[in-house]
Amino acid sequence: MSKDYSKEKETIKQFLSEFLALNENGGKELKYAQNLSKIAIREEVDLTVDVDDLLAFNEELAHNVLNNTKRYTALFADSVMDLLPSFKMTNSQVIKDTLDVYIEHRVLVEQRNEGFSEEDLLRKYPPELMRRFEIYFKAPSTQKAVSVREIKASNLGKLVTIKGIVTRCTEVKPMVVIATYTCDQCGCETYQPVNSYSFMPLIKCESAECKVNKSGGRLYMQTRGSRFVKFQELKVQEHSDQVPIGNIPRSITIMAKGEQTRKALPGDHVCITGIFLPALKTGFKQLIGGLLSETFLEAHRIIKMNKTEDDELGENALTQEEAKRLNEDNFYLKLAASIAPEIYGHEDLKKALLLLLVGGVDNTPYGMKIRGAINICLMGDPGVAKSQLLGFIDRLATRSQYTNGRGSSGVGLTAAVMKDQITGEFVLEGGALVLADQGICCIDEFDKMMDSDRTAIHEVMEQQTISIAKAGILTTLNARVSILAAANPTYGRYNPKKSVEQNVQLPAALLSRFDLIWLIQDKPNKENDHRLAQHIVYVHQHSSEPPNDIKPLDMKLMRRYIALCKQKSPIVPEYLTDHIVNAYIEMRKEARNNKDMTFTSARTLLAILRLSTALARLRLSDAVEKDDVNEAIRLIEMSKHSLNEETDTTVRVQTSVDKIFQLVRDMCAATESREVLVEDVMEACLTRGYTEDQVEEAIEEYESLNLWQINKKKTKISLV
Amino acid sequence: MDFALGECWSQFVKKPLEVIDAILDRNNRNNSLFEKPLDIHFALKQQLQQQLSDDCKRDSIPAVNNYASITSLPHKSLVRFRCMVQDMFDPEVVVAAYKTRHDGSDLFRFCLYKDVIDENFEEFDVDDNIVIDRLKYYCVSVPGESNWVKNVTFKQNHCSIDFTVKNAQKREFDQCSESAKRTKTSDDETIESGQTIHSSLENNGRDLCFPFPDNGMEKSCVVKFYEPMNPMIKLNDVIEVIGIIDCENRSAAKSETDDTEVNKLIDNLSLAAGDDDYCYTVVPRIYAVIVKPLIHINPLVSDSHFLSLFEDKSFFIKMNLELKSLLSAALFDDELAAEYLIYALISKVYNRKDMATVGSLPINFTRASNLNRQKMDFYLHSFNSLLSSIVTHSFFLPLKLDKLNNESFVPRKDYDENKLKSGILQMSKNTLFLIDETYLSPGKLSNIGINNMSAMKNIVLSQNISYEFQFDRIEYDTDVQVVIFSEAQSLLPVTCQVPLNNFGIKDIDTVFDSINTYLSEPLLNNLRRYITLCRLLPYELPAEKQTFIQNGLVSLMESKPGMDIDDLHRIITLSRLISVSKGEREFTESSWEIAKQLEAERRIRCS
Repeated sequence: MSKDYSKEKETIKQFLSEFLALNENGGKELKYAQNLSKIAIREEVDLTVDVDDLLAFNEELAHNVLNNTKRYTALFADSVMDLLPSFKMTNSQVIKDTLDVYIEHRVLVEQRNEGFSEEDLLRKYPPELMRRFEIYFKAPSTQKAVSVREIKASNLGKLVTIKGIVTRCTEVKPMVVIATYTCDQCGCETYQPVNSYSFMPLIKCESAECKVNKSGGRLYMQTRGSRFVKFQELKVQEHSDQVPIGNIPRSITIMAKGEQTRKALPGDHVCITGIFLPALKTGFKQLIGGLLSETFLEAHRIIKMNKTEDDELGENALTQEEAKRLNEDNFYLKLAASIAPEIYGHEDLKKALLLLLVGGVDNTPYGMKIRGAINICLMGDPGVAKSQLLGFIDRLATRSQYTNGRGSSGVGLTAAVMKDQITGEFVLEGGALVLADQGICCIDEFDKMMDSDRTAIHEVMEQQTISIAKAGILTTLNARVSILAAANPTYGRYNPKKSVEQNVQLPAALLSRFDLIWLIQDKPNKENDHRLAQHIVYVHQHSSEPPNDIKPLDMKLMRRYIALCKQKSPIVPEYLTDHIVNAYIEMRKEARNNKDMTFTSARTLLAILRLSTALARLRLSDAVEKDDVNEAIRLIEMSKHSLNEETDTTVRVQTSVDKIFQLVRDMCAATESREVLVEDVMEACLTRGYTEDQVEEAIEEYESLNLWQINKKKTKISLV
Repeated sequence: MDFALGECWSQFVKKPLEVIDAILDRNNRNNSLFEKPLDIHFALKQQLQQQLSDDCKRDSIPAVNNYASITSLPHKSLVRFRCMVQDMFDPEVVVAAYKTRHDGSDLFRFCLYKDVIDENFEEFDVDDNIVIDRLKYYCVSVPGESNWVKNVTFKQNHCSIDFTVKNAQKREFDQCSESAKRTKTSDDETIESGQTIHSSLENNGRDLCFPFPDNGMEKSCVVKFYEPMNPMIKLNDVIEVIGIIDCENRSAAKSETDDTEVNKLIDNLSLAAGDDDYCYTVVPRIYAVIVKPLIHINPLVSDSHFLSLFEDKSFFIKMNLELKSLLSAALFDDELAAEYLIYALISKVYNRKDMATVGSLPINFTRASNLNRQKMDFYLHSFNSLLSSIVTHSFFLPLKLDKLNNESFVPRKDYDENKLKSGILQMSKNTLFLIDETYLSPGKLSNIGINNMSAMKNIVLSQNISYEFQFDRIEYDTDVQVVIFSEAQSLLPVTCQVPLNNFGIKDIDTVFDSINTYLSEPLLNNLRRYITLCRLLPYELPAEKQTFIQNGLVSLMESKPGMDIDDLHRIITLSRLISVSKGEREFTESSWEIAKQLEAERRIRCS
């Protein structure tokens, strides 16, 4: 049962010349007819037929195209060939290329000799030689991009759309489509269409003249008369998330010709529409009667995608209704709990991380730039899942970079000026911070970085730019990035008696740039112990997570919700100013009185504003409310609290002062009196390696604690 | 469709394709079959499976593992192959059936189990054929397989030769037994035969990826099978393949025609179709009829009788004691260490959830420092051979700095050849991984070294490893039993440290001599069964015990503030392993107490 292709061709012609599409202004236009007229005057090369349009025009034809694309590509090309002369404008000047001149010349000569019409003569030449356009199909919007794995033998000959990553590509090279030969005896020209990788060049002239004369004319190939197309081969591999667990990613060969070449480079994420075809067998493989055939995808449309617009945005951005449904009573808790659900507790920290993902609002009053990005530094004893949190945020954020402080240099983080090997030009290469622009940069082992490298971050953290002055390049790059850093305390474990700087050995200038500094400690507590024990037993028993009161949200949903939040830019209403200012003054006062280990500076005020705008964004609101401010202040307080809290339940580190006190008590116990001479104490201590200062410090400290008293001459200590 | 394989079994084993063709010829004009060639495959598979329930018939199929050289196998015969999936190539599209005209009438031809039509090649129309997808896996003999596994399998094979097999077939078996004997008796010859394989491969400019040295007995095949059959097979799974082998080396024929100028030009133009060429030439192909995932490779534990052994608790208890005394003797009478070693040997991952991996028990023997280098080598070598004589597959890695720095342990995809370059860390399930860290010397780690270390770290921590795919990394699960010997705490974050007592105080020779004289063949076989059975034994943690464990954990946390999550997990895992090692299928309070006691003892030693 063969189809009547000539009838199909008529339908195609009708479609091309008559199809009306809506343009941007709402009017109708002859979409393809316009395209054709541009092709006629050689302003455009490719004719992309949207199968959606075909579906609207003639459903049967559209299905035929999808199922037998190769044949229909040829039919479309023929139809366009037929239509083109009618679109040629008489007065337009077409720039002729070598082939045009070549053919025109041949036609002229033959016309003079034989008197044929021009039309007839043109038909003698293979159509591919005359074609200056390329036909491509765009898959219908209902056709989803699939992974390489889902392309099966049943897809052979059909139009398919795949998604993946380019792993390799060849150089673009010319590929012969029509080889033209001239006979050395009769001067007759022979054309040979080439459809595969290789071809057997013609040698013997088959023209009537040579045959009659038996002159045995030899054919020589004419490069000028042959037609070549650009040709490139690509290899596309599945994304790692398309690979089923425990499988190796599959790949597929893509053949790109003409306009589809140079569209992608190795490493690019692409979406390719093309025809899945078996390779024509040539040479040896054909001879041995192989049953295997190599397959490839003939590219019709190659689109480069970047990580952000992969699949999250665009087609399925969260609608307002969906967002409303999410926006229930405890959605703030719920969202926070969905961050790293496998890590136990730390609700406030997770809330802070959620705000980091959403980010505050950028402000530029009077040209001054105030960042909205929130920076957070996590500190904590080794093994409290800091890195896991970082890893989770890196995975969750649509745009993020993960680096390790130990392996990064300042240049690697910011930007490097590189000299191009061949041209000798200087080029800028963005570092992690530049690449994470508008996103999040996670830096693990922040404390292990070299000081000189770390200073490069100062500018980024406040000004959100990177300035380069190097080798004749003076420039400022944007780095609107939130920094999430993780650091280990210097002394192995966090020492609450020391200040933050001492604990992490980071300069105050850098620390103050973090809106929140969070200390993660694992503190024993009976209730937590119980929950932990329950969790562990459950995991062992049921091979699954225990049922939580709050079910963690899907990562994709989170991403979409955060994307929606980012569209809002809430303002701080006038009436809240007083409240914020008062709160800030209160904090300053408290900090002064309490000999705080952290700082409270103007930057804290900004942090409050950032956090409260982020909270308002999270509610999808256009204005900050008093509750937001209060929550922001609470978070800052909590972060301070986590730093200052006395850890009474953990083993307290004995300082020299404590040890001296112990020593004095022992001395008293030995003499069975309640008094001891300072002189003796000093001597005993010095022999044990303490300094005089330390002893005096100890005496003063314990006197103020009222644990002993000292006489006025400072010679005798009496225990209370 | 009836294949009636029972009647022509020996013929089928020898020339399966001919038998299949003959049967199909009778149905030659069957149009409906032509539309669905895979139905033939399924019918054949079913029939074959029926036949295989007869152990005698199963054993009469030559096993690829037993042949010294894979090319000596009879071409196009039925074979079986016990192997690990090392790489998965892109699937191929293949003609499964075609229509041809013969004397004016339509003829249907089926070609499910071949790549080429070699004889009577008929022209067929491109439109009149059925194409289907076929999966293509690169399989190798199980890495680190212990010698006894091979020998036992072979012996069984030997004693149950199918006597209906005709002379030609018999000779092949004899050959096979000879070659196997040779490997056993004289090492030199084995190496020779191994080298011939290798040199022939090196000539082709590609190495075949055997990171585990195995005396030239490594085998590799490309296994081709049809997708609907086995979607569940994962990378590094151990499978048994029964299928038709094609070991014709086409590289010679190919090179004659391919080395022309034109083809060279084409090669320049296109990307190398690496795996394809590769499959065409060097590596034999097996067209699988049956692909069966194996849960263990212990030939002494057959499917039919392990259920009965499960019931025999006294067997478990007896073997547990035997093994404990044996291992503690090997560890210089250190009973605690021996006990931990047993639990490490029978441990397996039984649950994964997000970040948590439950059930693995990597252990780190510290204070292995009293011996000098030479003696230490000798000790570990003897120790390793003792362990490998009771476990089914193992790998011993003396961690040297230059090896660590120069050889990538992690498999990575080579896009030039379009295949996975294997590394030693590509191990199948339940491999014993013995690491000797005492070899390490101070020095600088290269990038490769850092990668290797972090990969091993991941195995220890979460039993997974990320293979490198140029643009991203993909995680694969592992389930290996890690045992590390080191002087002080290991470089790898093994939380279960067991400091050895009395290490090296006795003469190593006498220790192992007495062990070897004690170990009789029946005892060894029982120990081998024991370890496999412990892993297979089902175990349950009943709900009513849940609160008991919870309270136990809480009181532990209170009494010992230093306890972290790992310690708690380990106590539950240990109590499970203790129960299992005694043949118990349920949580018992006594094993819980023993687990706590063991941990307490270990802690005392550590401090």
